Amino acid sequence: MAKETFSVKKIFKDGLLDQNPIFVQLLGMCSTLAVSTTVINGIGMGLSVTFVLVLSNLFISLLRNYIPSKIRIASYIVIIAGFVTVVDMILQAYVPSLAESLGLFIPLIVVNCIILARAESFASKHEPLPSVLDGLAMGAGFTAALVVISALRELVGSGTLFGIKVTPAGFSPAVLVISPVGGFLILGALIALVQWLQSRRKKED
Amino acid sequence: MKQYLSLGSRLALFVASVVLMLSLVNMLTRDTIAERQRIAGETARGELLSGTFTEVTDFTIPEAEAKTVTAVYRAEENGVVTGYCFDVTVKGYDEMTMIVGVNTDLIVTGVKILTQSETPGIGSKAVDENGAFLPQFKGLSSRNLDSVSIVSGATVSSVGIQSGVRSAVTVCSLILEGKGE
Amino acid sequence: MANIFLLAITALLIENFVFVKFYGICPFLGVSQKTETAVGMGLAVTFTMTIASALTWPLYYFVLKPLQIEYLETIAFILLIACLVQLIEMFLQKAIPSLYSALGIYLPLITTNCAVLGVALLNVQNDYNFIESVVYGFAAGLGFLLAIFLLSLVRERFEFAKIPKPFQGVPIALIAGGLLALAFSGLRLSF
Repeated sequence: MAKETFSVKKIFKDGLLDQNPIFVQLLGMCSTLAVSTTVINGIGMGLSVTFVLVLSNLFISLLRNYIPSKIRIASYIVIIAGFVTVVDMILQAYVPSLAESLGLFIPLIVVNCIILARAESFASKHEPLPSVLDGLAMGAGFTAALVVISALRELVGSGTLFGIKVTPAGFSPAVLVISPVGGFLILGALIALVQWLQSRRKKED
Repeated sequence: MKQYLSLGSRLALFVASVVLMLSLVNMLTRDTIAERQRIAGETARGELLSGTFTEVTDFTIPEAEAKTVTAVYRAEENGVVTGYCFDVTVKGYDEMTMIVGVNTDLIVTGVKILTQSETPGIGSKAVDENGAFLPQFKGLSSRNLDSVSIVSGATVSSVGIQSGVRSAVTVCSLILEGKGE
Repeated sequence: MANIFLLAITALLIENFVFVKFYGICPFLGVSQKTETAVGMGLAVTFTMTIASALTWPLYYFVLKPLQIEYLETIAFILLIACLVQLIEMFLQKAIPSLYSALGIYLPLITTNCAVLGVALLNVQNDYNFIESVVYGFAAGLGFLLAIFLLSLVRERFEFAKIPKPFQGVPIALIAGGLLALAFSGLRLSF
């Protein structure tokens, strides 16, 4: 098979900006809303998803000629669920506080649409190296978006960043922002902002 | 039919390899997880009562409380029992586990939440260790447990915790009575 | 009995799966433009969640736990759910073709709805017995149905509303969802 050519720059630009999983592809909303109450949770979730994305992309790409198309979704889910359980066990053993605060959303990475979407649309059609890079790039885009949302919510909702108080003493936090209601409103506003920026860029082009 | 068999066996092969990988990782992490849970329990108990702790095995928790109080530890200092710590599981909106310390005078020495998943910004107020709710329990006995003020907007969580503390005190009084006989 | 009732009310209204627990957000946003399809999706999810709760309970307590392989619960549950959805699809195709063609494309999506896997894992985490698990699965599914139905009613009105361009589509749906969540949190605060 001919070596396929790919552009590292394009893969990363897609993952971080043009095809950002949260802001543009609008995938993985459940975990985004649920864990973005503190920056530490956001980063922890982002890195866990990145880990699963990279490994599942790698293995699905390696096995892509051995997975019959009729049972491909089931096979992807088995592979993804395997790596998710690995992350779950590692977090419980070495970062228990994070495992505690992310709770059920760690095992629920299995049904995070981002991972299945990359398996189906990228890893199953490309060679291992670009697939791994795609996993890294999409994971980085997911993590970056989570950091933006969770930093905003933690700062306004608790007056802290990384759990450390950063706001002046007179600031009273708007608890609504870290409650479920605030999650919906903030994410809606941020996606609207991204869509506005996109339409402005298109006009300039 | 033959096609289904071949598809099925292919999928079974994938499942088998993933299960193999998981059992390996489980072997590597299992002991660390158990050890970590043990240390977390030890540390929490140490903050509630002083002395060394041994799990109480010669006392059967009465059936009415057995679902709530899951384990009892005796604290001893220089051979004298100073009190008991109780592993307590209660339901807020989801399950919470906590440790309640009670001394030999049946006074609550404190409540520590070990695991909880209350909604941030709402139920979480009731489980905040530096919040207004949890520290209230310190120094109370079975007679004035009702005097704690419930967190408004987190009633279910606070009432859950309150009932857990009451169960712990009840079991503690049973243990102490048993000793007197 | 009172406990079961409280559990059902909690799952349906107070701790609504969508508005408080954030399970099933993808279909909540993706399949809520039209009331008809939203209700179809909600019913299919409710059905799957009830059956999945009834099947994962014995799987956990009669297979995984005795064999001490609880760490395989995620993978075992998702496989069971995937098979279940496949069976429901085949059954509907043969038995009720009209419902099948109405739900057709949404059926495979149920496998990746985190509300289904979520309820199975929650049943185990919260130590529910068999009856409680099934009731919880059913009530949580109804909670999802209620949420997606309410949002679809709001979104149908959007067709006649003048919405700023950047807010069209998902952003305004999220904001409508947020306002619905606000109403639900009011319910919660009164308990």
